[in-house]
Amino acid sequence: MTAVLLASLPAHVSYPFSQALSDLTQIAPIAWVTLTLLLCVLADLILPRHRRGTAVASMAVAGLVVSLGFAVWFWYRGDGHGAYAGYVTGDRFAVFFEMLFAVLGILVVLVSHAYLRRRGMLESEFHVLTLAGIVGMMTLGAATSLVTVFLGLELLSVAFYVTCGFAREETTAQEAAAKYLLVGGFASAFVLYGMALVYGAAGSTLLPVISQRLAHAGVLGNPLLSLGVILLGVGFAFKVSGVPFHQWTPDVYQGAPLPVTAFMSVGTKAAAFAMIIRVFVQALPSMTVEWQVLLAVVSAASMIVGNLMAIVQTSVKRLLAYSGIAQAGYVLIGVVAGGRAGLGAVLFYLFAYLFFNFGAFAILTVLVRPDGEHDDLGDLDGLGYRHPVLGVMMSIFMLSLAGFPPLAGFFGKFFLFSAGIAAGWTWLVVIAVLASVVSVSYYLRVLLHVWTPETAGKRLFVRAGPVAAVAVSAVLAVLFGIYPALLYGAGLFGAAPIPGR
Amino acid sequence: MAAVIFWVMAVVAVLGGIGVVASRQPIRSVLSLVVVMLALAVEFLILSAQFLFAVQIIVYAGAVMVLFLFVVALLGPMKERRQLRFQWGLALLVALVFGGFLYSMLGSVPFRAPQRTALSVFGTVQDIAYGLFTKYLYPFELTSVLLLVAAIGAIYLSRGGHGIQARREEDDRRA
Repeated sequence: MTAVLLASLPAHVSYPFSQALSDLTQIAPIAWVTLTLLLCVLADLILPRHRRGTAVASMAVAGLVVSLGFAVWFWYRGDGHGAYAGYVTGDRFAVFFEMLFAVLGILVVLVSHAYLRRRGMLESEFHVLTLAGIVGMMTLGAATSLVTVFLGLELLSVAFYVTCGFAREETTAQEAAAKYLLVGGFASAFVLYGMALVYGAAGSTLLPVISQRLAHAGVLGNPLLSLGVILLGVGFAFKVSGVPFHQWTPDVYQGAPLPVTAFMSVGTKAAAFAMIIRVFVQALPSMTVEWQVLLAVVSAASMIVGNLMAIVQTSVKRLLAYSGIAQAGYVLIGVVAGGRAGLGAVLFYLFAYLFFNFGAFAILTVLVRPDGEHDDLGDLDGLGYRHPVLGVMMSIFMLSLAGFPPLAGFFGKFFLFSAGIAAGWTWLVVIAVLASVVSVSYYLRVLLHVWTPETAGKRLFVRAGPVAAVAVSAVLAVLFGIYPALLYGAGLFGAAPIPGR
Repeated sequence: MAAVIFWVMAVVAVLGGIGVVASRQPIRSVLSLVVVMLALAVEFLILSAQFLFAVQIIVYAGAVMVLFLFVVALLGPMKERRQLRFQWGLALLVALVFGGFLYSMLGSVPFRAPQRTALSVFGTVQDIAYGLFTKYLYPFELTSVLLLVAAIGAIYLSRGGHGIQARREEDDRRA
């Protein structure tokens, strides 16, 4: 009986060991983080209670460091290719984001370890969920199929739904988690519907195949695809918190624990941009006009609304949330401009933004007390005098966000704007430049509070882990400003696997 | 005969879908969803995917929907807040635009019959297993990680608040 059944199976099902090994190599950074996640779950069950937190945190950092090592090694080998029947790839674009997210993961664990201890929250669950978020983000960068794109998106979203509400007793955290769950589910539904329509039009979920099939199909005016692109664009705009799909951002950022906010502000954004580039630029070049207009409108609206709303905020977390909305608008210029220069600028900005935006949030953790977070602008008063090192680093982050030379933020904006002008999107760049001038006012307002002479403030909570993370971020924000070619070159290499126009 | 069953079940599935959205009471929505699942199971059977038919009934119509029913029944009948009047107008507008899009879509899309496959193999346990562990291995494994993470998150969020306090005190005593 078995022999008959096996004989009737098609011949293509053989999957030799060498193929399995080669496939696994291509996703080694992702697989390693997944393995670390599973080991952390086990360690949480086995280890005695009082050791769990620190042990799981160290395991997570170790696993992420190994994953980063794999990614750097693959980056220099540069011979990544598709694996698992084309559902995932190990090309330089994927490896670029794997490096980015591994670094981000290490910083997040360093900051959250001290934070969770201070607030008396459970640790190992948090680190496991952080790792899950990282796996989801890496998956998005490496995905070459709509199926894997969606799975990565869901994995990172589920991790954030839980971590946003990690302070379960607080009503603000509950509000943040509930809001993010509803909005996230809504956005996922949009993305999924859009994917279904694109799949219906192309007959394949593999991104290169979609691009190939639609190139010859004469798709102009195909309502199926147009609707698919609009729905995908709306879902993506939710995820990068672009205007007018941004309303959830300030509330969720404010209610979520600080390390989660820091993680989300950088990680979700970078992952969403990886997803936009993979789906729009790689799979739907035939629909360029449609999604370009869509993204350009979202970009302009985000820059205007984000910067204007940030001016009137009194909570630093909300201020940075609106600043993040505006920053998403800048980065969208690079996607709209496209080509190697545009995408290279996007990758540069995302990697540099990781350091100066994460650093700004991480510094706020020194103001955390067991009763909660203190993130009003007034709480920052005198920070520069009580702890000059932190004050200087906060200044670096704010000036970099505002785009002052010679910091990484300046060159990030410079590359984005010059790519925009080169591609003929002058009106968009004019709005961007005007918006950045406005943005200087609120970034400097933060610094004004940091450098207000007031020495008799509340006690600061300064621990080695977060300070190390902040210091690394500050050093790199300056380094990539003084020597931007290092990262811009990497950005250009990273953008190379995405077919240009 | 197969065509007749297909159309009957398609109508049942769509009516069930409308029932899910239109019912005022959650319990009726859940029961309508069961109808959708059963209709889909029959459609699988028409495609001669017996295994999927069985799984659809056992897992979806059986296990998942029973859980839904439990949750809805335990939460009790909830009073739905009356919608605002302008919501009706907005919803109607969006539905009309979307309907127009769908109508023009259906007009321009070429339809074709499903390709003939070897029915002795299609939809069997072996066929699905080979698919899952060769071509779809990566998405399959990724799904398992997703479910694991969702389970961990659900356990964390649903565990009682006093448990955390007890654990914290125990940690303090040891430290």
